Amino acid sequence: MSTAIRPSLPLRHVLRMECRMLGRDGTALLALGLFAVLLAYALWNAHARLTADVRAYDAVVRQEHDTEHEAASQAAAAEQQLAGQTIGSVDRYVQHGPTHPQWVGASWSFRVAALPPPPLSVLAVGRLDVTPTVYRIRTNRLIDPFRQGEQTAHPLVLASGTLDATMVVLVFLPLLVIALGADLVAGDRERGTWMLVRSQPVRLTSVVLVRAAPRIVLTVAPVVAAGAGAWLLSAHESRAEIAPRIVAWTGGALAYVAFWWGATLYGTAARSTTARALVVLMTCWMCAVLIVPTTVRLWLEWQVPVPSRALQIRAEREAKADADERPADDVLAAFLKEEPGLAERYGSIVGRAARVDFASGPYYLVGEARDYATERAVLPTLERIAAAKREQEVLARRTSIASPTLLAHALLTSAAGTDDHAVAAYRRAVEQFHHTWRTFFLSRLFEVTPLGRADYAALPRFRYEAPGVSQVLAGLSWRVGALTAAAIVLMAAAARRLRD
Amino acid sequence: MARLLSIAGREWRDAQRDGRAWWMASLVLLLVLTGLGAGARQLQQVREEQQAAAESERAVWVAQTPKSPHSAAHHGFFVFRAVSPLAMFDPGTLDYVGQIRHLEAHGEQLPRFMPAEDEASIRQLATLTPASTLQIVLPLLLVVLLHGAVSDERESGRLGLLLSQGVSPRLLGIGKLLGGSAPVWLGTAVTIGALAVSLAATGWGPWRDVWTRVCAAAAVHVAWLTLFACAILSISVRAATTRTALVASVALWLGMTVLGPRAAVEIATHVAPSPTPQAFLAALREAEKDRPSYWEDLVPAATARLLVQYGVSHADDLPVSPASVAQLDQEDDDTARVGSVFETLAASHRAQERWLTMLAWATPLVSVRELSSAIAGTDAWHTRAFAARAEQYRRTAVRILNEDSVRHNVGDFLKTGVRHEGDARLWSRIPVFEDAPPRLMTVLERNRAHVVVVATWTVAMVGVLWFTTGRVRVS
Repeated sequence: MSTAIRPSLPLRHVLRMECRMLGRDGTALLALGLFAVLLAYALWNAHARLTADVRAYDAVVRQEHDTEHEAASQAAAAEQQLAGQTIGSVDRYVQHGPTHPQWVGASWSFRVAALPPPPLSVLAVGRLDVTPTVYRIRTNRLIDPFRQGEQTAHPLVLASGTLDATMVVLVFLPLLVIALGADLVAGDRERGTWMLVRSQPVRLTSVVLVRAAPRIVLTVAPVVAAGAGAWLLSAHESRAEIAPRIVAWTGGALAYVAFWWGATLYGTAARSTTARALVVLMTCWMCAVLIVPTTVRLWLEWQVPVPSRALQIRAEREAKADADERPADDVLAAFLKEEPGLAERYGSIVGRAARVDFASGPYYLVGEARDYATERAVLPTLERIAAAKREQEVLARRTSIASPTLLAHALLTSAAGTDDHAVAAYRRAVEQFHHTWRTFFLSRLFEVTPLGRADYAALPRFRYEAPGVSQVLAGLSWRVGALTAAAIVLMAAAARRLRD
Repeated sequence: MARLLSIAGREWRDAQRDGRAWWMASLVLLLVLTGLGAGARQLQQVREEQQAAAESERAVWVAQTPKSPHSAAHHGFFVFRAVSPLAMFDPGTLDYVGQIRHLEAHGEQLPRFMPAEDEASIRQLATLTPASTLQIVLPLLLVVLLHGAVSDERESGRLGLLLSQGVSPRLLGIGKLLGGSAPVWLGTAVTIGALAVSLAATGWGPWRDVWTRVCAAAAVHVAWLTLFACAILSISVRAATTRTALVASVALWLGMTVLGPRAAVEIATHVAPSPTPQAFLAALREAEKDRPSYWEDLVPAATARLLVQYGVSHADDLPVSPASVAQLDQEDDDTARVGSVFETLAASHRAQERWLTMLAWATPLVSVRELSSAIAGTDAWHTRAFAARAEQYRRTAVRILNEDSVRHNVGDFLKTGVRHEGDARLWSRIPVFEDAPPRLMTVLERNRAHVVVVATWTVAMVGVLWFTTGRVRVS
């Protein structure tokens, strides 16, 4: 019968002692309290923002509905009076606004394409702080000049960014990990108690891990609490939808915490004093959180400079002036060549396009042809800007591996549905809806057919479906894997240093 | 003096031997130089594109086809903000406000195209600029260099030995401050030098007092680094151990550079909130409700006024068109009504700035940042000043166009079918928009409170160091 050697330093005693010492460590408690306050404030702040966004979204949608309802009632009232007529004269144009396709589709269009506030923006505001989330949709060709809701916040506030849970986790959680873990081994070395620990018949890695355990719990708990907080703060109806996203966000944040624990354990195992470990870890933090992301951004801007919007303005104005100056017949002929369906019906106007009546069908057709010519001329510039932005994003994704903070940032904003992909998906939906809106109105506009009850009932409405969760999760797994792998490597290196 | 130099020299040698400090300093320097290089290139690109766009805008304006002057006022003008050459050093809030304004009849509009919209998503994290490197990263380097300057001497027992040899504790403090923080001063000097070289290479457009601005920016940052260095050294003098000194210094750095300014912005935003974009649009719509009807109110009022003014009894006998005069009235009315909504927005921003100024007494980096961006011409006030210049230009241009319609009385287009059309001669009468940024003295005068905050904090921290070194404990 073999007798097991009973360790003279039972690990549960170490754990109990560690918890007791941690409870008396004023600096650790202060750091923890400060972090808890910061995280609670970030959640409250982002929730207040989300509530305001939801209210603003509801107001925009309500106003759109009310205006549409009023216009539809007026159009219905005028329906019988205008039955079988076209609206040609200026007087009628002014008088019968809500029945006029140009009035409804372009000049005073009430249709908006608003982004419903993503429920998990309570965890990560992401791109939403500088992205337009309301577009007024008109039949005109280009969307950008017609957007609404430019930023009104103080630019300094925008420059400071929104303090949300993601920013707190990315920037401040590593500092909490460093504050709690920097003296774990280095402190014992400094006090001379490390040799005492080494003299015990226990594995050093087990002792360090048991000692680190309550500290790890203290850094993991806020992350889990933030996830739970987001769950509680979200509306009941969206909970089933956001549950996988919350799990993804929490998992990503935990992988990030694991990385920093790996770094901290390595730092404390490799240095002889707490002060040295602190300096090294703070330098790592500064590099990961501040210096590398900035260097990557500068590199991106250097590699792929995005043209300024002055270029777009110039292209638009020159194209518009050119389209206005060109003979109406030329512009119309070029347009009808591209639209064979319209050519069959309106080809006879070519040759007398300059003499068409104001506010008549051909008048709008010529206007459309000029818009088309302008758009054709501007599109290469817009595409140049969009291509540069796309290339920057691709490079940014590739280079995110350079810093755990960049990796985690991409991961957390993607899980929350507020990253570039989500914004691009919204923008694509707006462009698609813009096309639908134009298609609906064009034939009515060229005929100048008065809009009635049936037309209003058939008006296209903007419905936005955010990208599916499965799509998002698929893109996150490699990032979580990369962070976890880095954490494991660092912890293994720390264990090796402990044995040396 | 010889002793001071000797102490400073020894500290400098120690700093040289500290591999971490040099590694960190080199990294920071690389970051600053890359930032300046990238900033200079971007500045050049934006400036060229803006200039080309402004020239094209003018050419399109002058060459536009004959049309009603009021229609031309609706076609409007795009004006571009002259980007400050010092933006490569401190872009301030430049990326967060539209740089292009469309000016047209019936009131001011919000600026368009915030550059941040076109930046990669890592923008949120990658916020370091050459200026913020001096404001945030160099203080951390000061923590690394100075936290143990005196506490190390005390812990090793060398402090008592030094003082027993007759070295004045204050001289020791000053020597350690000068020698220990030398890499930081060197880094600052290289940054300012590199900025000067970049400025000489890129030119500065309508910004006239650039060199004075560079000197002012350098002075502000030297003051900030001095006050921070004094604070760290004071901690080192007072702390019982080097570990305590380091923890306290890191906490101070975190509080003064990261948490403090952040908290100040949050407090200012919550105490004096700006209207949301939707609320702003709702206010504009609300103002629209009070708009008098052109045909039912303004034209009859103008007709009645003109009949009295010209002493005629019938509108057809008037030498000017009442409809055109009503357009002038409508423009004045719209400008005032829309202007009042914009003024409410600007007032909320000014209120936030007042709160920030008050909070800067608790967290001086707020003042340093404000001064730095104000000197660089990239703060919110410069944005508002540009908006005011653009609005003044809009009013002048629209008035010229509307008055031309008044002078050419062709009656009501909807009744007569005859329309007065402006031509190239009228379009050329609209002056070219030339942005003229404010002078540095105006900027400093406006930021007097921030100057006082930085100066007071610097003097106070030097005083604290003087006081603590005078009462240094040997053990």
